[in-house]
Amino acid sequence: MAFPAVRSVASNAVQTGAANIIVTKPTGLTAGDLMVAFVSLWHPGADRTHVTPSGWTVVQVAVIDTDNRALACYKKVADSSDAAASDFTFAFSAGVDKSTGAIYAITGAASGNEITIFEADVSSTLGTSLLTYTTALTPVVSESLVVCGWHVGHTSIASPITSSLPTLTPTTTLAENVDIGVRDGASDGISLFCYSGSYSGLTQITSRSITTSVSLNGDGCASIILLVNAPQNAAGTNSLLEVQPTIFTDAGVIVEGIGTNALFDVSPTLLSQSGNSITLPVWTPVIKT
Amino acid sequence: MASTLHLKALEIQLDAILALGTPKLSFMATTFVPNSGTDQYFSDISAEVASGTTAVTLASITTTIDTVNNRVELDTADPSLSTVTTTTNKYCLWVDTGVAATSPVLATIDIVEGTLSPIAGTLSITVNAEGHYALKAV
Repeated sequence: MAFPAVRSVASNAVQTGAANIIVTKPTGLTAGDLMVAFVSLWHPGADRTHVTPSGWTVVQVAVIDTDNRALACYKKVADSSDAAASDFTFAFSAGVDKSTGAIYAITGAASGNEITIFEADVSSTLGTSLLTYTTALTPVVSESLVVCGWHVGHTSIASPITSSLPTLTPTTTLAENVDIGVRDGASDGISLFCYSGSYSGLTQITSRSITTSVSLNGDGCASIILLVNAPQNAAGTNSLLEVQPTIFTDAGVIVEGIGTNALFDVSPTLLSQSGNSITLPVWTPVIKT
Repeated sequence: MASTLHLKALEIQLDAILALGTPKLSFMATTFVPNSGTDQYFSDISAEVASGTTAVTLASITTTIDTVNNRVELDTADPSLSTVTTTTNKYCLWVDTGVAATSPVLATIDIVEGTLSPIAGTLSITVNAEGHYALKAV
Protein backbone atom coordinates (compact mmCIF):
# COMPACT_ATOMS: atom_id res chain seq x y z
CA MET A 1 0.00 0.00 0.00
CA ALA A 2 1.10 3.62 -0.52
CA PHE A 3 1.75 6.20 2.16
CA PRO A 4 -0.93 8.86 2.67
CA ALA A 5 0.22 12.08 1.04
CA VAL A 6 -0.32 15.80 1.47
CA ARG A 7 -2.21 17.15 -1.50
CA SER A 8 -2.03 20.76 -0.32
CA VAL A 9 -2.16 23.00 2.74
CA ALA A 10 -3.86 26.35 3.32
CA SER A 11 -3.26 28.65 6.26
CA ASN A 12 -4.12 32.00 7.80
CA ALA A 13 -3.09 34.15 10.76
CA VAL A 14 -5.26 37.00 12.01
CA GLN A 15 -5.32 39.62 14.70
CA THR A 16 -8.81 41.02 14.29
CA GLY A 17 -10.65 40.31 17.49
CA ALA A 18 -13.16 38.29 15.51
CA ALA A 19 -14.84 35.26 17.05
CA ASN A 20 -13.57 33.06 14.24
CA ILE A 21 -10.78 32.52 11.77
CA ILE A 22 -11.40 31.74 8.11
CA VAL A 23 -9.00 29.51 6.23
CA THR A 24 -9.07 29.12 2.47
CA LYS A 25 -9.90 25.70 1.11
CA PRO A 26 -6.71 23.73 0.33
CA THR A 27 -5.99 23.76 -3.39
CA GLY A 28 -7.48 20.81 -5.21
CA LEU A 29 -9.42 19.50 -2.22
CA THR A 30 -11.37 16.48 -3.47
CA ALA A 31 -14.24 14.57 -1.89
CA GLY A 32 -12.72 11.69 0.03
CA ASP A 33 -9.61 13.63 1.06
CA LEU A 34 -8.86 13.70 4.76
CA MET A 35 -8.81 17.26 6.09
CA VAL A 36 -6.70 17.96 9.16
CA ALA A 37 -6.93 21.43 10.68
CA PHE A 38 -4.80 23.10 13.33
CA VAL A 39 -6.31 26.20 14.96
CA SER A 40 -4.66 28.21 17.72
CA LEU A 41 -5.80 31.17 19.77
CA TRP A 42 -4.42 33.70 22.23
CA HIS A 43 -6.67 36.22 23.91
CA PRO A 44 -4.85 37.86 26.81
CA GLY A 45 -6.72 38.19 30.03
CA ALA A 46 -9.96 36.43 29.22
CA ASP A 47 -11.35 32.94 28.75
CA ARG A 48 -11.66 31.77 25.20
CA THR A 49 -12.26 28.28 23.89
CA HIS A 50 -12.47 26.61 20.53
CA VAL A 51 -15.84 25.70 19.05
CA THR A 52 -15.81 22.43 17.13
CA PRO A 53 -16.93 23.22 13.59
CA SER A 54 -19.97 21.42 12.29
CA GLY A 55 -19.11 18.12 10.62
CA TRP A 56 -15.58 18.04 12.02
CA THR A 57 -14.25 15.77 14.76
CA VAL A 58 -11.86 16.90 17.47
CA VAL A 59 -8.56 15.05 17.33
CA GLN A 60 -7.04 16.85 20.32
CA VAL A 61 -7.07 20.21 22.07
CA ALA A 62 -3.87 21.29 23.81
CA VAL A 63 -4.78 23.90 26.40
CA ILE A 64 -1.73 25.86 27.46
CA ASP A 65 -3.58 27.67 30.17
CA THR A 66 -7.21 27.45 31.02
CA ASP A 67 -8.26 30.87 29.96
CA ASN A 68 -6.73 32.14 26.83
CA ARG A 69 -4.20 29.98 24.95
CA ALA A 70 -4.84 26.75 23.19
CA LEU A 71 -4.11 24.74 20.06
CA ALA A 72 -6.86 22.55 18.60
CA CYS A 73 -6.70 19.87 15.93
CA TYR A 74 -9.74 18.68 13.95
CA LYS A 75 -10.33 16.14 11.21
CA LYS A 76 -12.98 15.62 8.55
CA VAL A 77 -13.30 13.51 5.44
CA ALA A 78 -14.18 15.95 2.69
CA ASP A 79 -17.51 15.54 0.94
CA SER A 80 -18.68 17.14 -2.27
CA SER A 81 -19.80 20.31 -0.52
CA ASP A 82 -16.38 20.70 1.08
CA ALA A 83 -14.75 20.24 -2.30
CA ALA A 84 -17.00 22.96 -3.67
CA ALA A 85 -16.47 25.37 -0.77
CA SER A 86 -14.13 28.32 -0.99
CA ASP A 87 -13.09 28.43 2.64
CA PHE A 88 -13.73 27.03 6.11
CA THR A 89 -14.60 28.90 9.30
CA PHE A 90 -13.38 27.92 12.75
CA ALA A 91 -15.22 29.68 15.56
CA PHE A 92 -14.30 30.61 19.12
CA SER A 93 -16.44 31.16 22.18
CA ALA A 94 -16.03 34.94 21.73
CA GLY A 95 -13.79 37.44 19.96
CA VAL A 96 -10.11 36.44 20.00
CA ASP A 97 -7.22 38.86 19.77
CA LYS A 98 -4.91 36.55 17.81
CA SER A 99 -5.48 33.27 16.03
CA THR A 100 -3.90 31.05 13.42
CA GLY A 101 -5.28 28.22 11.34
CA ALA A 102 -4.10 25.66 8.82
CA ILE A 103 -5.92 22.95 6.85
CA TYR A 104 -4.26 19.92 5.26
CA ALA A 105 -5.84 18.05 2.37
CA ILE A 106 -4.50 14.49 2.58
CA THR A 107 -4.98 11.61 0.15
CA GLY A 108 -4.72 7.88 0.66
CA ALA A 109 -5.82 7.64 4.29
CA ALA A 110 -7.43 4.45 5.59
CA SER A 111 -11.16 4.96 5.23
CA GLY A 112 -12.86 4.91 8.62
CA ASN A 113 -9.53 4.64 10.44
CA GLU A 114 -7.76 7.71 9.19
CA ILE A 115 -6.27 8.87 12.50
CA THR A 116 -6.08 6.56 15.48
CA ILE A 117 -2.85 7.72 17.12
CA PHE A 118 -2.12 11.25 18.32
CA GLU A 119 -0.59 13.16 21.23
CA ALA A 120 -0.60 16.70 22.60
CA ASP A 121 2.01 18.47 24.72
CA VAL A 122 2.24 21.96 26.23
CA SER A 123 4.89 24.02 27.97
CA SER A 124 5.25 27.46 29.45
CA THR A 125 8.55 28.72 30.75
CA LEU A 126 11.29 27.77 28.33
CA GLY A 127 14.16 30.23 27.85
CA THR A 128 15.37 28.43 24.77
CA SER A 129 14.80 28.45 21.06
CA LEU A 130 14.84 24.67 20.90
CA LEU A 131 11.38 23.39 21.61
CA THR A 132 11.41 19.67 22.29
CA TYR A 133 8.67 17.33 23.44
CA THR A 134 9.07 13.76 24.60
CA THR A 135 6.71 11.70 22.50
CA ALA A 136 5.23 8.21 22.78
CA LEU A 137 3.52 7.62 19.48
CA THR A 138 3.40 4.07 18.11
CA PRO A 139 2.04 3.50 14.61
CA VAL A 140 -0.65 0.90 14.07
CA VAL A 141 0.18 0.39 10.39
CA SER A 142 3.53 0.11 8.67
CA GLU A 143 2.93 3.10 6.42
CA SER A 144 1.82 6.38 7.99
CA LEU A 145 1.96 10.09 7.38
CA VAL A 146 3.17 11.96 10.44
CA VAL A 147 1.68 15.44 10.79
CA CYS A 148 2.71 17.84 13.52
CA GLY A 149 1.40 21.26 14.46
CA TRP A 150 3.17 23.69 16.79
CA HIS A 151 1.85 26.84 18.44
CA VAL A 152 4.22 29.29 20.08
CA GLY A 153 3.38 32.54 21.80
CA HIS A 154 5.69 35.34 22.75
CA THR A 155 5.46 38.84 24.15
CA SER A 156 7.50 41.76 22.92
CA ILE A 157 8.73 40.46 19.62
CA ALA A 158 9.79 42.53 16.65
CA SER A 159 8.21 40.16 14.14
CA PRO A 160 6.34 36.89 14.18
CA ILE A 161 8.44 33.98 15.29
CA THR A 162 9.54 31.54 12.63
CA SER A 163 10.78 27.97 12.92
CA SER A 164 13.29 25.67 11.35
CA LEU A 165 15.03 22.32 11.71
CA PRO A 166 12.12 20.13 12.67
CA THR A 167 13.29 16.78 13.92
CA LEU A 168 11.72 13.50 14.86
CA THR A 169 13.14 10.50 16.68
CA PRO A 170 13.54 8.06 14.95
CA THR A 171 14.99 10.29 12.25
CA THR A 172 12.35 11.12 9.68
CA THR A 173 12.42 13.47 6.73
CA LEU A 174 9.93 16.22 7.38
CA ALA A 175 8.65 18.96 5.09
CA GLU A 176 7.58 22.32 6.42
CA ASN A 177 4.02 22.99 5.32
CA VAL A 178 3.07 26.03 7.43
CA ASP A 179 5.12 28.77 9.06
CA ILE A 180 2.87 31.73 9.82
CA GLY A 181 2.42 34.20 12.63
CA VAL A 182 0.73 37.39 13.72
CA ARG A 183 1.72 40.15 16.09
CA ASP A 184 -0.49 42.72 17.81
CA GLY A 185 0.14 46.35 18.60
CA ALA A 186 1.79 45.44 21.88
CA SER A 187 4.26 43.29 19.99
CA ASP A 188 2.79 40.12 21.39
CA GLY A 189 2.49 37.42 18.84
CA ILE A 190 1.66 33.84 18.07
CA SER A 191 2.90 31.56 15.34
CA LEU A 192 1.79 28.26 13.87
CA PHE A 193 4.23 25.76 12.37
CA CYS A 194 3.18 22.55 10.66
CA TYR A 195 5.34 19.70 9.37
CA SER A 196 4.64 16.36 7.76
CA GLY A 197 6.49 13.35 6.40
CA SER A 198 6.11 9.69 5.50
CA TYR A 199 6.75 7.36 8.43
CA SER A 200 7.66 3.77 7.75
CA GLY A 201 7.37 0.90 10.21
CA LEU A 202 5.96 0.38 13.68
CA THR A 203 8.77 1.87 15.76
CA GLN A 204 7.56 4.31 18.37
CA ILE A 205 8.23 8.02 17.82
CA THR A 206 9.95 9.16 21.00
CA SER A 207 10.57 12.86 20.53
CA ARG A 208 9.98 15.85 18.28
CA SER A 209 11.45 19.31 18.18
CA ILE A 210 11.69 22.58 16.29
CA THR A 211 14.05 25.53 16.54
CA THR A 212 12.45 28.95 16.78
CA SER A 213 13.85 32.28 15.64
CA VAL A 214 13.88 33.65 19.18
CA SER A 215 14.41 32.21 22.61
CA LEU A 216 10.96 31.40 23.89
CA ASN A 217 9.71 32.99 27.07
CA GLY A 218 6.88 31.92 29.30
CA ASP A 219 4.04 32.73 26.95
CA GLY A 220 3.15 29.23 26.17
CA CYS A 221 3.78 26.64 23.53
CA ALA A 222 1.85 23.59 22.42
CA SER A 223 2.19 20.82 19.90
CA ILE A 224 -0.11 18.15 18.55
CA ILE A 225 1.33 15.25 16.60
CA LEU A 226 -0.68 12.62 14.81
CA LEU A 227 -0.28 9.70 12.42
CA VAL A 228 -2.48 9.30 9.37
CA ASN A 229 -2.87 5.58 8.63
CA ALA A 230 -2.47 4.07 5.20
CA PRO A 231 -4.86 1.24 4.43
CA GLN A 232 -3.37 -2.07 5.54
CA ASN A 233 -4.06 -5.34 3.76
CA ALA A 234 -3.98 -8.79 5.38
CA ALA A 235 -3.54 -12.06 3.54
CA GLY A 236 -3.69 -15.61 4.83
CA THR A 237 -3.73 -19.23 3.74
CA ASN A 238 -5.37 -22.45 4.92
CA SER A 239 -4.17 -25.99 5.47
CA LEU A 240 -6.33 -28.65 3.85
CA LEU A 241 -8.81 -30.00 6.38
CA GLU A 242 -8.86 -33.73 5.62
CA VAL A 243 -11.75 -35.74 7.04
CA GLN A 244 -11.27 -39.47 7.38
CA PRO A 245 -14.12 -41.95 8.01
CA THR A 246 -14.13 -44.11 11.12
CA ILE A 247 -14.78 -47.81 10.40
CA PHE A 248 -16.79 -49.50 13.13
CA THR A 249 -16.39 -53.21 14.06
CA ASP A 250 -19.05 -55.77 12.85
CA ALA A 251 -22.36 -55.73 14.69
CA GLY A 252 -22.42 -59.45 15.46
CA VAL A 253 -20.38 -61.09 18.12
CA ILE A 254 -18.68 -64.38 17.27
CA VAL A 255 -19.14 -66.96 20.08
CA GLU A 256 -16.65 -69.88 20.60
CA GLY A 257 -17.98 -73.53 20.73
CA ILE A 258 -18.58 -73.63 24.44
CA GLY A 259 -21.82 -75.20 25.54
CA THR A 260 -23.41 -76.50 28.69
CA ASN A 261 -25.61 -79.49 29.47
CA ALA A 262 -28.40 -80.12 31.83
CA LEU A 263 -28.23 -83.37 33.82
CA PHE A 264 -30.04 -86.00 31.83
CA ASP A 265 -31.81 -87.87 34.64
CA VAL A 266 -33.04 -91.23 33.48
CA SER A 267 -35.17 -93.53 35.67
CA PRO A 268 -35.53 -97.18 34.48
CA THR A 269 -38.94 -98.76 33.98
CA LEU A 270 -39.28 -102.28 35.43
CA LEU A 271 -41.24 -104.63 33.24
CA SER A 272 -43.17 -107.80 34.44
CA GLN A 273 -42.59 -110.98 32.69
CA SER A 274 -45.57 -110.20 30.60
CA GLY A 275 -43.84 -107.15 29.55
CA ASN A 276 -46.10 -104.89 31.48
CA SER A 277 -44.47 -102.35 33.64
CA ILE A 278 -44.97 -102.91 37.27
CA THR A 279 -44.46 -100.75 40.18
CA LEU A 280 -42.64 -102.53 42.89
CA PRO A 281 -44.12 -102.17 46.38
CA VAL A 282 -41.95 -100.54 48.83
CA TRP A 283 -41.07 -102.96 51.53
CA THR A 284 -40.79 -101.64 55.00
CA PRO A 285 -38.52 -103.75 57.18
CA VAL A 286 -39.92 -105.05 60.47
CA ILE A 287 -37.56 -105.53 63.25
CA LYS A 288 -38.27 -108.83 65.08
CA THR A 289 -37.92 -108.64 68.73
CA MET B 1 -10.72 -56.29 5.54
CA ALA B 2 -11.82 -54.14 2.58
CA SER B 3 -14.18 -51.57 4.12
CA THR B 4 -14.25 -48.27 2.27
CA LEU B 5 -16.46 -45.40 1.27
CA HIS B 6 -16.74 -44.81 -2.46
CA LEU B 7 -15.39 -41.64 -3.99
CA LYS B 8 -18.11 -41.00 -6.50
CA ALA B 9 -20.76 -41.17 -3.84
CA LEU B 10 -18.77 -38.79 -1.65
CA GLU B 11 -18.53 -36.39 -4.54
CA ILE B 12 -22.26 -36.65 -5.25
CA GLN B 13 -23.08 -36.03 -1.60
CA LEU B 14 -20.86 -32.96 -1.48
CA ASP B 15 -22.30 -31.62 -4.74
CA ALA B 16 -25.78 -32.12 -3.39
CA ILE B 17 -25.20 -30.03 -0.28
CA LEU B 18 -23.52 -27.32 -2.32
CA ALA B 19 -26.52 -27.26 -4.64
CA LEU B 20 -28.84 -26.33 -1.75
CA GLY B 21 -28.00 -22.66 -2.29
CA THR B 22 -25.12 -20.27 -2.79
CA PRO B 23 -21.85 -21.39 -1.23
CA LYS B 24 -20.31 -18.62 0.83
CA LEU B 25 -17.44 -17.86 3.16
CA SER B 26 -17.64 -15.80 6.33
CA PHE B 27 -14.65 -14.60 8.32
CA MET B 28 -15.18 -15.30 12.00
CA ALA B 29 -14.27 -13.43 15.18
CA THR B 30 -11.17 -14.66 16.98
CA THR B 31 -13.39 -15.56 19.95
CA PHE B 32 -15.49 -17.98 17.89
CA VAL B 33 -15.10 -21.59 18.99
CA PRO B 34 -16.79 -23.91 16.51
CA ASN B 35 -19.00 -26.71 17.76
CA SER B 36 -19.41 -29.31 15.06
CA GLY B 37 -22.54 -30.60 16.72
CA THR B 38 -24.53 -27.46 17.50
CA ASP B 39 -23.28 -25.12 14.78
CA GLN B 40 -25.54 -26.59 12.13
CA TYR B 41 -26.86 -23.58 10.27
CA PHE B 42 -25.67 -20.05 9.59
CA SER B 43 -28.16 -18.74 12.12
CA ASP B 44 -26.15 -20.62 14.75
CA ILE B 45 -22.92 -18.73 13.95
CA SER B 46 -24.00 -15.41 12.45
CA ALA B 47 -23.55 -13.55 15.72
CA GLU B 48 -19.85 -14.47 15.71
CA VAL B 49 -18.98 -13.25 12.23
CA ALA B 50 -15.95 -10.93 12.43
CA SER B 51 -17.00 -7.32 12.88
CA GLY B 52 -16.74 -5.23 9.74
CA THR B 53 -16.92 -8.17 7.34
CA THR B 54 -19.57 -9.42 4.99
CA ALA B 55 -20.02 -12.87 3.51
CA VAL B 56 -17.99 -13.66 0.41
CA THR B 57 -19.81 -15.49 -2.38
CA LEU B 58 -17.47 -18.26 -3.43
CA ALA B 59 -16.52 -18.59 -7.07
CA SER B 60 -15.07 -21.36 -9.20
CA ILE B 61 -16.34 -24.04 -6.86
CA THR B 62 -15.04 -27.50 -7.73
CA THR B 63 -15.42 -30.92 -6.15
CA THR B 64 -12.67 -33.18 -7.40
CA ILE B 65 -12.03 -36.89 -6.96
CA ASP B 66 -8.38 -37.42 -6.06
CA THR B 67 -7.75 -41.12 -6.64
CA VAL B 68 -4.13 -40.87 -5.55
CA ASN B 69 -5.09 -39.71 -2.06
CA ASN B 70 -8.43 -41.50 -2.08
CA ARG B 71 -10.50 -38.45 -1.29
CA VAL B 72 -12.85 -35.83 -2.67
CA GLU B 73 -11.61 -32.23 -2.43
CA LEU B 74 -13.59 -29.00 -2.25
CA ASP B 75 -11.80 -26.05 -3.86
CA THR B 76 -12.77 -22.49 -4.79
CA ALA B 77 -11.23 -19.33 -6.17
CA ASP B 78 -9.34 -17.30 -3.58
CA PRO B 79 -11.85 -15.28 -1.56
CA SER B 80 -11.27 -11.67 -0.55
CA LEU B 81 -12.93 -8.62 0.90
CA SER B 82 -11.82 -5.09 0.08
CA THR B 83 -11.68 -1.96 2.22
CA VAL B 84 -12.35 -3.79 5.43
CA THR B 85 -11.22 -3.17 9.00
CA THR B 86 -11.49 -6.26 11.15
CA THR B 87 -9.67 -8.93 13.14
CA THR B 88 -10.08 -12.61 12.29
CA ASN B 89 -8.24 -15.91 12.47
CA LYS B 90 -10.64 -18.41 10.90
CA TYR B 91 -13.44 -18.69 8.38
CA CYS B 92 -16.59 -20.74 7.89
CA LEU B 93 -17.86 -22.26 4.69
CA TRP B 94 -21.64 -22.44 4.42
CA VAL B 95 -24.42 -22.69 1.86
CA ASP B 96 -26.83 -19.77 1.73
CA THR B 97 -30.34 -21.03 1.07
CA GLY B 98 -31.75 -17.57 1.54
CA VAL B 99 -32.80 -18.36 5.09
CA ALA B 100 -30.12 -18.36 7.76
CA ALA B 101 -31.90 -21.04 9.77
CA THR B 102 -31.72 -23.49 6.87
CA SER B 103 -28.29 -22.58 5.52
CA PRO B 104 -25.95 -25.43 6.51
CA VAL B 105 -22.46 -24.78 7.82
CA LEU B 106 -19.93 -27.07 6.15
CA ALA B 107 -16.63 -26.35 7.85
CA THR B 108 -14.61 -23.98 10.00
CA ILE B 109 -11.06 -23.53 8.77
CA ASP B 110 -8.20 -21.92 10.69
CA ILE B 111 -6.05 -19.30 8.98
CA VAL B 112 -2.50 -20.59 9.01
CA GLU B 113 -0.93 -17.19 9.67
CA GLY B 114 -3.07 -16.69 12.76
CA THR B 115 -4.80 -13.39 13.32
CA LEU B 116 -5.23 -11.06 10.36
CA SER B 117 -6.07 -7.39 11.00
CA PRO B 118 -6.58 -5.37 7.85
CA ILE B 119 -7.22 -1.65 8.27
CA ALA B 120 -9.39 -0.29 5.49
CA GLY B 121 -7.54 -2.78 3.34
CA THR B 122 -8.03 -6.06 1.52
CA LEU B 123 -8.54 -9.25 3.49
CA SER B 124 -7.72 -12.27 1.37
CA ILE B 125 -7.13 -15.98 1.59
CA THR B 126 -4.90 -17.89 -0.81
CA VAL B 127 -6.67 -21.23 -0.78
CA ASN B 128 -4.49 -24.30 -0.31
CA ALA B 129 -3.62 -25.94 -3.62
CA GLU B 130 -5.69 -28.97 -2.60
CA GLY B 131 -8.66 -26.88 -1.54
CA HIS B 132 -10.46 -26.02 1.69
CA TYR B 133 -11.22 -29.57 2.86
CA ALA B 134 -11.34 -33.16 1.64
CA LEU B 135 -13.42 -36.25 2.47
CA LYS B 136 -11.38 -39.42 2.49
CA ALA B 137 -12.80 -42.75 1.40
CA VAL B 138 -10.79 -44.75 3.90
